[in-house]
Amino acid sequence: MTVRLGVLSTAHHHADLYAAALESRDDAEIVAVADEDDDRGQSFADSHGIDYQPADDVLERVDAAIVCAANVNHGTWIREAAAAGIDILCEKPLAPAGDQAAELVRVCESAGVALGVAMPVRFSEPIRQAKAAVDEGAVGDLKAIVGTNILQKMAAGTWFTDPDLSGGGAILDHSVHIIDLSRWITGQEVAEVYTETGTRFTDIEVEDIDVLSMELDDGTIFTHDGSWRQPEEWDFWGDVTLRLIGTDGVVEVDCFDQTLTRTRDSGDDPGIDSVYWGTDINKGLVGDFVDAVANNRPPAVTGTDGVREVRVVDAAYESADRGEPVSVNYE
Amino acid sequence: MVRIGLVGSGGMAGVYANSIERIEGATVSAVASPHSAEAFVRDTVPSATAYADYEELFDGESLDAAAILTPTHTHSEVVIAAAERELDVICEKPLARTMDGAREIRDAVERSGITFMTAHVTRFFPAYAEAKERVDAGDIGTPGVARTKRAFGFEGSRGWFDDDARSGGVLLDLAVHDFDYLRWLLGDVKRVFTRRTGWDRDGRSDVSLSVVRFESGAVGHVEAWWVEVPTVPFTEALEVAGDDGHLEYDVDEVQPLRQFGHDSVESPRDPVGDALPLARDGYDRQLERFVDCVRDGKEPSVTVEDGLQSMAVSLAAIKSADCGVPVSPQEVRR
Repeated sequence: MTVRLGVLSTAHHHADLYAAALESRDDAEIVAVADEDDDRGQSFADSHGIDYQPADDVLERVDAAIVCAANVNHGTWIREAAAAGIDILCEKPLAPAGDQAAELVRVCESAGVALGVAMPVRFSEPIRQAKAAVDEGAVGDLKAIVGTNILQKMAAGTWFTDPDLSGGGAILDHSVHIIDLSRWITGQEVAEVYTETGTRFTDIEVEDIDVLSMELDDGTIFTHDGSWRQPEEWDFWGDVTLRLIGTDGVVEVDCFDQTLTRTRDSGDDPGIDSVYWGTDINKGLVGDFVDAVANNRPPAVTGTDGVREVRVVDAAYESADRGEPVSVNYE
Repeated sequence: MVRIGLVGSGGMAGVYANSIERIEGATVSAVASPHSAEAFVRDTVPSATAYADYEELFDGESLDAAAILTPTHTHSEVVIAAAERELDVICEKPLARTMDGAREIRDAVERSGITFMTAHVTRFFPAYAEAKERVDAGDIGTPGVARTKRAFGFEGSRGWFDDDARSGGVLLDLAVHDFDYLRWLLGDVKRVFTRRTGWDRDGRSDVSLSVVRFESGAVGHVEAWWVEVPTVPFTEALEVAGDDGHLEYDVDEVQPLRQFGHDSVESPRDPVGDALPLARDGYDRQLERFVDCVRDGKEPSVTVEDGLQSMAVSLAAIKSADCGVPVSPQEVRR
């Protein structure tokens, strides 16, 4: 079957990446988009050759929807899609707080629709091979994880830096990527979090330093740096790296190290930068979701995973407030 | 001629002997070690005299200075003996095993008025020294986050390094390089939160991840570990992000010279074990500075107080790892 998909809000720029990844598939078709912002939605529709329509009309035409709204608006779109009986892939983080995320899972469960959270890095080939190596015993007993998901400095003036729309800064925005990888590779939950944070790189209302020190249920130690801190002139958008240290070995992954070094003397953006040529992680993400919808199975990362990951973020913010390590509350 | 006596004949003694012998106007006159001084002298500095006991060396030789290269827990007794004889001293890092030991050293230095340098050689490694100059020149604006990495694999016994009571483990012996460097770069440390894990017999494999808050508000991440996985190469890395720029150094990315033979691939990278392709490496620079200070009586750039403060960050990290809470270096200095 061909799975027909709609996009609900294009506030998050990842909507373009997901749409492009879907366009390359034979078993899926992206047909329409709804948005809070008419101009933005129409422009997205034009660039992808699809229809811009009210949400009710989109939901009548599709089997599944991808929600790319600002964090605080995820719930509104998810509720609409669930009420229409449509399966959902939601941009991460699922919601700004764990309780809100848990409520969205309940809504989808009672509506009988699938809820997935967009964790494209799970589809990174270097990560998949690293997980396979760890599963085969390459590091022995895993003892420590060092992760980074460092991004460029966050400019003011978008919803990302407006707490009323984002619900938080760098910690909320993308710590869940590395936390998700850790949960996937180890099968362990994060038990405790200690946070150092602040706003030092641009003049914004949310934090741009995201340095977390965690411990997993089995005592594995785990740190993460997801600060918005690389210069505008950086050669790439950021990184995703993991170092897995164990009793018998060390596995290091740099997900986006497969790049060309490009230098241009003229044009709009002269200078040196890096052009990624590795496997497209977004194709893996949408492929899994389309397959899940077609075969009526849960997507790779479910709403329940999303809730657990946002619970860690809750604890991270609480640690920042209290200045001490905080146990993650999964209740 | 600045005549220097080496106390200790372990790994650092060879490095020091080679650097000192390269400095015009400086020489290694004698070496003291209870076990292997004679063999060390024969192999490394044949012109020097071997002693079994450091006090015999101090009393038997006409020296200007002593380099203290003994296991960490013995630093204070050796430094005190040198200070009593008014010998100038360069002492390997960390300054001492305990805060009491460090204070004894500081008191002895102050009482005697000797020239004293804590050998925080990372400040003299060319990449680190250049990064400090670039940050001070304002190249990256105001620093916000700094990350360091220092790690290696080993095989078999590492002697006293394996014994926490003598070396203080990876946080005191290895992470202290980066705690000291970051103090120099970013200023005083407000608090440190550390997680640590270990395995093998009595935790000889020792892994630490420290999150550091500086008084300036900047945040550091200091990764330091040694593990019994022999194929892991020596690694060091530094990254400093500021609000107007960024600096990054990773020895993994630095390959100015590689040799491929039938049985081996060599890419010199370890400042202790390898001959780096540098006219003057970090140890040369550090010892030149020390010799200059001995000659003209100036205070070295890395003082006894620096050694004490950087050590306090390590001890705070150890306490944090033990107690599971952030710890201020001031707290362990009390």
